[in-house]
Amino acid sequence: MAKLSCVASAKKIGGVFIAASLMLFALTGQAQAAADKVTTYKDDKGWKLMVNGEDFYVKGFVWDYKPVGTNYTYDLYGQSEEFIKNLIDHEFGLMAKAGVTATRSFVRVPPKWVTYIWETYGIMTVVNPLMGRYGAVIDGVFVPTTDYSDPKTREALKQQVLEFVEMYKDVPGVLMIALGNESNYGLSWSSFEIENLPVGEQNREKAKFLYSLFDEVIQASREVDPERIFTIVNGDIQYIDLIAEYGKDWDLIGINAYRGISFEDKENNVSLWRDVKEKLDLPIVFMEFGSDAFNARDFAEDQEGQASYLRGLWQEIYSKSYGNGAEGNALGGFVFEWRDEWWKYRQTENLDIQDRTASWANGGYKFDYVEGQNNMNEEWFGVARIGDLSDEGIYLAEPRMAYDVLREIWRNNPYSMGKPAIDQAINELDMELYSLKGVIRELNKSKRDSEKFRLEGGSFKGEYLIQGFDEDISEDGEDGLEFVDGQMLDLDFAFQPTSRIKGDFTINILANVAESNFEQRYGDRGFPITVEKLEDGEFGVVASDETLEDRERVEIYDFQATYTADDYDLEAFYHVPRYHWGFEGDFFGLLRETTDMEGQDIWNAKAPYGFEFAGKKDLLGLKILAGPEVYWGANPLAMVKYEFGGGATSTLGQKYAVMFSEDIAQRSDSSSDSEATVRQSRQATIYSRTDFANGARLELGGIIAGTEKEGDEYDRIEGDDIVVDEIEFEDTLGFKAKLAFGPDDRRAYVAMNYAGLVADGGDPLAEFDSELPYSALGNKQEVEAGIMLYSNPYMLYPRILYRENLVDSNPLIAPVTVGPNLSNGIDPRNRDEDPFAVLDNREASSAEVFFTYDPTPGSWFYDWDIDMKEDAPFAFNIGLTGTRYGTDTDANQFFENGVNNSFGAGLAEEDVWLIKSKMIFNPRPGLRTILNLYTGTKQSSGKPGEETLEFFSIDGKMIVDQKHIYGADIKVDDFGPYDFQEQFNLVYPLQVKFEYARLLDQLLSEERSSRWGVKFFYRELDELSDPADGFKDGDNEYMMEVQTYFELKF
Amino acid sequence: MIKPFRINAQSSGVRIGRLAIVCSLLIIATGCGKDSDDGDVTNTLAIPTDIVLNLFCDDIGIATETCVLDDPDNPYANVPFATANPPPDDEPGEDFNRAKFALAAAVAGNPKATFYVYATAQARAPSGENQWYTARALHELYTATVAAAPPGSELIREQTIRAYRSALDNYFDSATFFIAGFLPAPPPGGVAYPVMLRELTASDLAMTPGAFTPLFDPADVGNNEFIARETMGGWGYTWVGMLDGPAGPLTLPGPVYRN
Repeated sequence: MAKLSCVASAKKIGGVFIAASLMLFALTGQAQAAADKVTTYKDDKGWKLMVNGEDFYVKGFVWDYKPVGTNYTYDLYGQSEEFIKNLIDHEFGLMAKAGVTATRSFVRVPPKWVTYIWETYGIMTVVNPLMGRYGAVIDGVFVPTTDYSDPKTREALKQQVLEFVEMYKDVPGVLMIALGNESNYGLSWSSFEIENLPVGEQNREKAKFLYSLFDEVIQASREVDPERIFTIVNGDIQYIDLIAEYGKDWDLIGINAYRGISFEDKENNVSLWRDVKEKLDLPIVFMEFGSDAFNARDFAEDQEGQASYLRGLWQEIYSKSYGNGAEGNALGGFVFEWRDEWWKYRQTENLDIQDRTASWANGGYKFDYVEGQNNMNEEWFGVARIGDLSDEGIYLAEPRMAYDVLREIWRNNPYSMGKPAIDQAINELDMELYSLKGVIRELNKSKRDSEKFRLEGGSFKGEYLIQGFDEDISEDGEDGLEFVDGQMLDLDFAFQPTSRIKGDFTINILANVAESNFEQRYGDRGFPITVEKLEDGEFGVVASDETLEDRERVEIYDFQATYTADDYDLEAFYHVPRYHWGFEGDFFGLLRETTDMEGQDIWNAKAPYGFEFAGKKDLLGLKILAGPEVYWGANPLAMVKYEFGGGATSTLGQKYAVMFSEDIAQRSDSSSDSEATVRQSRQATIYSRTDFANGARLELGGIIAGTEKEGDEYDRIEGDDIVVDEIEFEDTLGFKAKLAFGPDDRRAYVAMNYAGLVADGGDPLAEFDSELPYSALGNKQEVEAGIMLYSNPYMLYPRILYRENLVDSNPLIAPVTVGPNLSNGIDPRNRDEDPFAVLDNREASSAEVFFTYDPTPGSWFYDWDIDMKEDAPFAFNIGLTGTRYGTDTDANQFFENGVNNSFGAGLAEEDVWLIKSKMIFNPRPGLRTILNLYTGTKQSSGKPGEETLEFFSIDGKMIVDQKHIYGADIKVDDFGPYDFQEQFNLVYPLQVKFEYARLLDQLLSEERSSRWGVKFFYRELDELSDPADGFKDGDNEYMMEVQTYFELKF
Repeated sequence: MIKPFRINAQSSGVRIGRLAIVCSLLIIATGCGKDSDDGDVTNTLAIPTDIVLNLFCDDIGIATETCVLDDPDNPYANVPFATANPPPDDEPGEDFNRAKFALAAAVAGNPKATFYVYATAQARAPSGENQWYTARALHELYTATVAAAPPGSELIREQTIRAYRSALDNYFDSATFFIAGFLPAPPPGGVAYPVMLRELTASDLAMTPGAFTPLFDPADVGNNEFIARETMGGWGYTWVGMLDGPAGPLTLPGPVYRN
């Protein structure tokens, strides 16, 4: 009993302790839940910012996190709690060490994380509702251009901000609420009254609406949260008079300013400080300012340039602070920005590459400014670089020299030191020392980075396949199944023998190779092959078959190396993804994109393979590309392009480009299973692009191609006659024009394309998932038009295309001998024996319309990676394309036994149609489903079929909590999955594939995570199916396979 | 951050670019279109009936040489017909598929035209069959030149031997198909049986078809066989000889071995 009593007492004491703890926790929680009191203070010495009664100086960064390969649509707070915490601990741990007191972020930092950052790192957050700066949802509809004069819009924006204010009312860690972001630069809406004003006054009138709304919102917000400080984020001090008129009693003014190393121009008696003091008498917080860390003149990273500019700017900000004898209106600021962002230039392209293109000019940054050239590099503004990927899936921040300099500056208190001491402290900063420190950090950052050769990582994949056919299973039951296994190892290496040369490559090693009956797969190169073996026999040499095992067990999978010189970059590449030059003046698409590495791998194709020279400085705009296969399927060739005029940097005005491409030989093997090779040829193009101030764009281009075919004969039918003609110079010429109106994502356009008989171009740019029957080949006159009707969240996009051939395809008329004469007949042309052929460039009348529903246009539904990027709860599109092919084609070709072969006949005239739809569901964070549906009619891409195919297919993928991936692919009466099956008209009644994968590193992306999984394949066979699958007149009506695998990535 | 707009002043490069565009447009505008009266109407071609064959190039009709397609005397150079036997499934149309043999049959007794038929097929789709038929046509042409003016064309004789040798050197494992016309009651379409072309080639060289002139000794068939065997030996081949077939009247050439 005593023991029990003791236990009971202990329980009682424990209960009291727990209750007391909970009460204390609750009280503490209540205390923590109170918002911090932020105020401004003013006396004769100037202005101060105070938090909870103590002096506070804003020393901070604009902070955001966008991993490599993502852009503005990346949703950090849609990631797991664990990931977010790990990231914040990394980022704010570094910032706290530097003395950061506050950050500003464009995205809404959820209250719990604002408080976490404040309580853990002592860093406050500026909450920044953008208030319609980049469009707004008004009455449930997203309006991309905000009209601040519209009463409904004003009310909606006000309510949205008030919701923000309410949400953050009692949240500890909020420094202030700032509205908009350079909203004065976005006054582009149209209205009848304003458009009647002179141009110079139009925006001023619009600005009145903006600033009056700011004031209206601030006054209303104060009623919701009287203790909070409110301000705006203005672009420099434009419209300062209006701010003075509407913002008399605002707490402070937030400014984004990029004026170089100073906010003053003493020579011209210009001072931002003085103007604000005299006209506003408000303290200043710089919401953005800074310098990029890339020297456009030297075309190299320039940490010293960035650090010295930030030092100069902070010295000035400090000197303009309270008690330093000058204007005394500086409260600090946010350096733009904490870390580089690799998505900023072009925003949806090259997201995994840090672009070095300077995209605008600013003469204030003299360390790299050259008259007439751009010098601001959008992707290089970080005080920290984007570093390696950590085990937690975080791209680490690697501080630059500026980090050390700021850390030293921020040790000083501008309110109390006095200007002489501030100047002394900052002037005495030993920049060489910090530069050296940066170098040492580079060296120490990771020993492996400085190693000349290192193993970076790799993967191991093991698999086990169960296979069976109807006939075998019916006869033998389970004994009719076959079992095979395979193993594959990839090792990734990097090298950097000198500071100017670096690269990487991957070695692939095979053990057993499991042959799938359903899939062509990378590693199939290791299959045994049978060769003829010659031996001496009794009567001479005797041939016999011999099977070679263990073939090609090791190969270089990919390779790239870059040499960085002062005036150029030289890159060697082998089987690494490369993009087209379609946005760099390659109007005819001569350089095709090669990004489908998986598609190549199944044939062990190794494109792109070659080297590229890219000029810099005086050679900027010049590119030379050459190699055995610079894009998938290319002949060995050399290509030169020079872009000039507005160059790659101007947003308005004219750009020009000239380009020349020469095939050096015809490739000797197919680039896939049976794709025909292409005759050696050459092309030269010129291009002009004019961007008008009203948003219109005119593109003109000319091409001369296939001049080596001049004099080549071809035949054609004219009435009942067979006419033999030859290629002339005019047949090598082509011309293309496109006139477009409106912004990129909602434009109307008309285009025409004339191409002589042999004036073949390259890949046409098919945009917005278009299924219009574009063609790279010549022999055509083509017109196209489209108009994007956009009323967010809906978009309707009708487009039409009409094409005629200059010379039609040939029919097949067999030769007949009549006495001493031969009625010679005619047959469909092919691209080897004839100088040209009518193939996918045949006459076509095509119309299509796409309907899109996407309530979050920030993640553009037609981006290539939208499957993983769409952030709307539900978005979809549906498109209908109908095409009338009014004529037969000439004969397509296929590659077999080392040569091109002709199918002999062309595809028949036909009407085809296609309906396709993509649906993306995001019902909750961590659950994403993508569905694609296709149905319609289509023809083979090579061998003529007796009937046009009517098909249906659906594929889908569901990703659950970054752990489970479910996939399905069902096709009814469709070609097999590979090009050759479409080429040879191989159709299956039913094809089914289900798969499940379990990601093992859930914080990493799908591509980077280790996993295990299972795939199930099933296929019904009939007489139209691939004979290799063995239908056997019905003995085999189906085949199946189960693949299980484990893939470890390290 | 807002990017300020900037328009560069026009440089001389810009003006040159604009000029180039305008010039190209003018060139294209003046050159557009394909007139219906361009080209030459070519509905029929004359078939050669003589026996004079000027070798358009040294290797005409041999292996992968394609100069016969450029030979102005060749009426078949641009004439469409199937080149394989049997034609692959991909090649369309009965007339088209039968054209190689149909065209040759239509000029039976005209060895020069026959040569052009098979040499054209050989140039388009090199194969043992096309090579052997080309050699045979040359052999027939040589025989015609002998008949017309003994001792005949030495040029054609040598070219015939070269063509036969090519069948051995380049298509040693190739076969052709014959219809078994000796069957008393063949099914519709006949029965095709394969024959190795190397054996037909050796037989042609050594035994000489009845109507043809022996290539090595026109006057003495026996000596011709001896020289032919020796010559083939020099090329690296051993021919066993003629065999009696299992079906009585059928006599088959025996196997050929590589030495």
